[in-house]
Amino acid sequence: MKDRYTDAIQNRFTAYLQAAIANRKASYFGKRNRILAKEIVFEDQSYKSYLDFEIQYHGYQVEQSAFIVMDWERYEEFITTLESRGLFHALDGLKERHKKILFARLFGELTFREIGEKFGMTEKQAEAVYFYIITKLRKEMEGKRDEF
Amino acid sequence: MNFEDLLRRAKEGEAEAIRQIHRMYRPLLIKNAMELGIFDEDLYQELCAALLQCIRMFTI
Repeated sequence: MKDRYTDAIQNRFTAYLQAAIANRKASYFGKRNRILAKEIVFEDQSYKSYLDFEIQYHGYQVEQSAFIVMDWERYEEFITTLESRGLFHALDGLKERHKKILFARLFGELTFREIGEKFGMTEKQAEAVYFYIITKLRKEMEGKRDEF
Repeated sequence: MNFEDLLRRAKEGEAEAIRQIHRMYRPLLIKNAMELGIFDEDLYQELCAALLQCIRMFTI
């Protein structure tokens, strides 16, 4: 019984590591070559193979990603373990400040006024920046979809 | 050797445990560092860094 539990941990760790490796790889190529990075996005589907530990990992991931709701400031960890390569790329391309604003709004559920105070802007400016980020993300992800 | 204990020790920063985990996952890292049949040293280093980060961030 004890052994089976340990195996589950090892499987989860392996899957966790594989997700991190895939993201790190994508980010590495992204930095080296932005054009090549766009091609990696659609490999998303072809990499899928349904091994036991991956199923375990999905359950684990849902369980583990709950922290972001409690504490949006851990957004870096959240981004690292994202399943969707496309979304990871779009987020990876954002400025640090913009990532913070996005997560503060989405998961921190701060109002635009609070965001404005936090980042030294007026309420209107915060709102404009937020919608700018959303538009940018959308453009980034759709742009890639249209290529293929 | 129990993997859970090993991971816990590695999380606490014990060099030998980290080394042992790295030895376990080295083939995976090398496989992922191969691009078109060529071993990419820089990428391998990046992946090693990712492994260390994973050890730190993984919650048991």
